[in-house]
Amino acid sequence: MKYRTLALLPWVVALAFACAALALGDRQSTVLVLQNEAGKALALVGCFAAALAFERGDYLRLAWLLLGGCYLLLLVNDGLGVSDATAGMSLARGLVVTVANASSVAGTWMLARAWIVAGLDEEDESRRRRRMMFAGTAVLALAITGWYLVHDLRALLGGNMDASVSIASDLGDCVVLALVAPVLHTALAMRGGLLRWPWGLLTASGVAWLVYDASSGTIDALHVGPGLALVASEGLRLVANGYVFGAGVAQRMAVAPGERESVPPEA
Amino acid sequence: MSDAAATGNSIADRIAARLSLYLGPHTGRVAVKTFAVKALGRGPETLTLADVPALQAALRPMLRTFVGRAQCEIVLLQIARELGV
Repeated sequence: MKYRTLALLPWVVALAFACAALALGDRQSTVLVLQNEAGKALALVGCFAAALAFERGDYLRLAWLLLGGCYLLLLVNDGLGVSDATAGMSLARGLVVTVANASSVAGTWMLARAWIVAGLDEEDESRRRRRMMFAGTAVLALAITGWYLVHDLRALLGGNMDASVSIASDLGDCVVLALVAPVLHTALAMRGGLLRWPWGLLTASGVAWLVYDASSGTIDALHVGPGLALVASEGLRLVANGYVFGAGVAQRMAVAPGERESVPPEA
Repeated sequence: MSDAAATGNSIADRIAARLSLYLGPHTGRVAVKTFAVKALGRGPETLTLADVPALQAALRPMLRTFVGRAQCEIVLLQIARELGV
């Protein structure tokens, strides 16, 4: 599989699902549920493919395992959602979603910090640029997810204990979105090298999540039909997850021994 | 190989070119510069063949972070073979 194919694949798959969802009318919700689960499964496969390209003890192995753990737990949560909603089940699902978010934050944090861990964060200029990018993205992430956070905090203060799960999810989203900047910084620094692909595709995933979160209110404001709006936003979610799949596969292609001979680039 | 050893720059450029496959040309050069200064206390323009093992050892943690232990050793071995050390 070529690296550029990995960049196009999420859009092609999302378009195919969107066409199917719009064409099937009454069965649209079934297609969207299938699409949602397919996106998570794809991301899970990508993360584990990347993790297994490394040996035990390698820094990025743990990072990819943690990121993949998030998708695994989200799939478990969806599976639990099929059964009857009891108080115990709600609590279990809440715990699963909270741990999934923590796993996502930890994995993304490790990937974002790889540049520093590698010892390349030596130049003052580079360090300052990275910090400014991080601050900018953190403000943007807070602006986008802050509304949801305030809404869920109000619900929690109003006695809705289920809102605590949403708050964990909101905080996780906010941190992960803020980490788009250091991931982008690594992708830009690696331009011209094979490793620009995993970090670049992870950045693309983060940007898709930013647009997904930001678009929820925008689509409402544009008075788009509810069916079309749902198809569009779910399409963005699939693109975001699809890019995680692409990043994981690109990581594996770049580093798995035997899959690639290390040869110097052509002049 | 004697030409490369005499110029010094050539050694740094060849190591950077090998790293650039993964890291890109800019970071490949930055890595050689950063770790030459860290390990040897001088710039990449002064590199000689005798400095290569120390530079390889300094590059190892960085490479392990990005490409893992197995691929890191392959890259370092290829650098050694290419430079004849």
